[in-house]
Amino acid sequence: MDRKGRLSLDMLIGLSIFLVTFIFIAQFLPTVFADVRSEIGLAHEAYKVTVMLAETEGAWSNGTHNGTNWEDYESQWGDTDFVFLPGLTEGEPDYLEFDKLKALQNATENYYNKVREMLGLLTPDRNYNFHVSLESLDSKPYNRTLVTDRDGNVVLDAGADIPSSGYISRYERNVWVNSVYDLVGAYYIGTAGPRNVPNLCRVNVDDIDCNFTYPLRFFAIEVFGKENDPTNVWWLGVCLQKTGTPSSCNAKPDTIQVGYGSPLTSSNVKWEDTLAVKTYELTTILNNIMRDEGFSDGDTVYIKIGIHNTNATLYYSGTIDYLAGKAVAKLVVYVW
Amino acid sequence: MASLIKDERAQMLVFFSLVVATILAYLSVLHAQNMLAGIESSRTLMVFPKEEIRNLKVVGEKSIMMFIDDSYADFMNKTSKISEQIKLLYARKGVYGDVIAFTKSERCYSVRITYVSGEVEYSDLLYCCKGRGCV
Amino acid sequence: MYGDRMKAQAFTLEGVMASLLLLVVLYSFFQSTIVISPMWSEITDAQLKLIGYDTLKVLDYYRTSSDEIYPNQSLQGMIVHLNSTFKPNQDFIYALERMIYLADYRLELCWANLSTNAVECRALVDKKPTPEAVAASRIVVIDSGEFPASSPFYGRGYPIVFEVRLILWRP
Repeated sequence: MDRKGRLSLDMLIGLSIFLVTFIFIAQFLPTVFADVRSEIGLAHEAYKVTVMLAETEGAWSNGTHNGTNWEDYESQWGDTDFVFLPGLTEGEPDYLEFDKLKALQNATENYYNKVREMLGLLTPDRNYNFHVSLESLDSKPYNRTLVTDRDGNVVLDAGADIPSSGYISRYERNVWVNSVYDLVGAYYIGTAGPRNVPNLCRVNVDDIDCNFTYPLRFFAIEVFGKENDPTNVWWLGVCLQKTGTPSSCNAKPDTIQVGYGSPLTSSNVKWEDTLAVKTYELTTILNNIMRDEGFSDGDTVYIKIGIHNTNATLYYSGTIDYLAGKAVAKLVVYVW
Repeated sequence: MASLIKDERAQMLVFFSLVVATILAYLSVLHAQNMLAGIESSRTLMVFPKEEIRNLKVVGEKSIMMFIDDSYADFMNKTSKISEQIKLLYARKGVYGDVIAFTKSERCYSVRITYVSGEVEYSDLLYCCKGRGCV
Repeated sequence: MYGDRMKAQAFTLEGVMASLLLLVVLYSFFQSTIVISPMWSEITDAQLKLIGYDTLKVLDYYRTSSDEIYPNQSLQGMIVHLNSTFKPNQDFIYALERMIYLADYRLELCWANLSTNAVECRALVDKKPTPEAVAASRIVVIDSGEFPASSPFYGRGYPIVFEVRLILWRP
């Protein structure tokens, strides 16, 4: 009975349990370190990109000349000896230039790898993807609201498609954009010529009906003057209602009136002024009236603009906020 | 009980795992340091008073410009009051911050911006002119 | 024979023991939340701090001429219209809340009292921050002539420097 040559089943089980655990740990360890490194690395990269975009003017150089207006050299972006940093500001942090936003959109669409390289996301030992967009202040990661320009085109939504899972670093910056009028639509609502109105509005003979959403983001009316006979009376009325289209919205002669309900009477007028040649910034006035009437975010508001013998333009945007005299949105950067 | 422990060969497994556990403990220290390094560097990123210094420059450029049309005496009086208040406000945070204007001419003035904290020492001299900004 | 039978499980038992030891060590050292959590909060902190500074910057309104009035929604407009209750106007609160979206906040206003050489502070929006809160601040200068008679800062005779502190945290 020589039993020494045999390995017992016991030893096999014991050793294999131990080895399985050991191998598992040996494999698991490097991933722990790699994850931490890449997470920290990602956050840094994303932060760096937001700083470059939202806090610098950008720069360009082709070896002999240089400057900050990289957005004016679209034809050379692809050249190998043309290098540029796509900063977006007007020289002051968070104060972005509309032309540069548009240029970044084009540059990223056409030269994605070059832009990645210029932002430091593509080097021989690192390779990150990015996405950058200009979104409304209340835009959510899972339901994005992109800012549109005066013609209704998306201003900035460029880069690779955002993956739905994995490590993604996301940074938001609150910014304001120059100029406001590149971003808001201008609609002629006067009585002198053909009217063109936002697509949420309908034109009637004497007035315009719109269904907007509370809170209004940008609503201003610029008055140019009387339509024809300067001796005739003129007026401008804005009526709000929570349900149903306001019936009529005729203001007092020579005045601009804003009221809740219709028709306008002395009791439901909330704000008025003498009608003059100037721009009436009504966003906050209208939002305050609606807030006092118990509107909550996302409610539909029925607006009627009554206009008589007046040349005027409506400035309206459903995506950009007008706060403290600035067109405010947020710049969102994703890096993965 | 002593009779039960006849075979001690298997204890080498436990010993070995103890050795590995020690290595793991050492690695976990490395791991924690790795994290701390990440935290530290993002903290220095955030703690560096970039925004404060820019803010002081804005005060020097835009706020002091509000008084450019005043007489020399008024301008000096007002800007020295501003400087005193800024020093007090920053002293509360343990920082020496100051924006002090000097040498005003008809349309231009010079302003010195100082920010000294435990980590950072910053000083800058701006020359600002009405309608032309600062250099 | 008795001894042989008992020792039959020694390898299995100790193999299990050794594996458990390794796994426990691994789990307790690497997966413990004490090590992981600060990094995550630090990242959100960085994001919140950025939003705080950006918000104050957007609300800071630089005038180009002295006849321009500060909008109600700007920091200056808010401070100018404060009365003895130190309650900011609704327009300002609206603008502020639009921008810091989803975060909770506390707003403080500090100014230097030159006669006592002390800094005085008032909470404009008084909520209690959590320990993870981050602060952003901004200095604005307002000329004495801007304040109406109802303002607590009326009649100082020199420009007043204010520090607006915005403390943000995730609810």
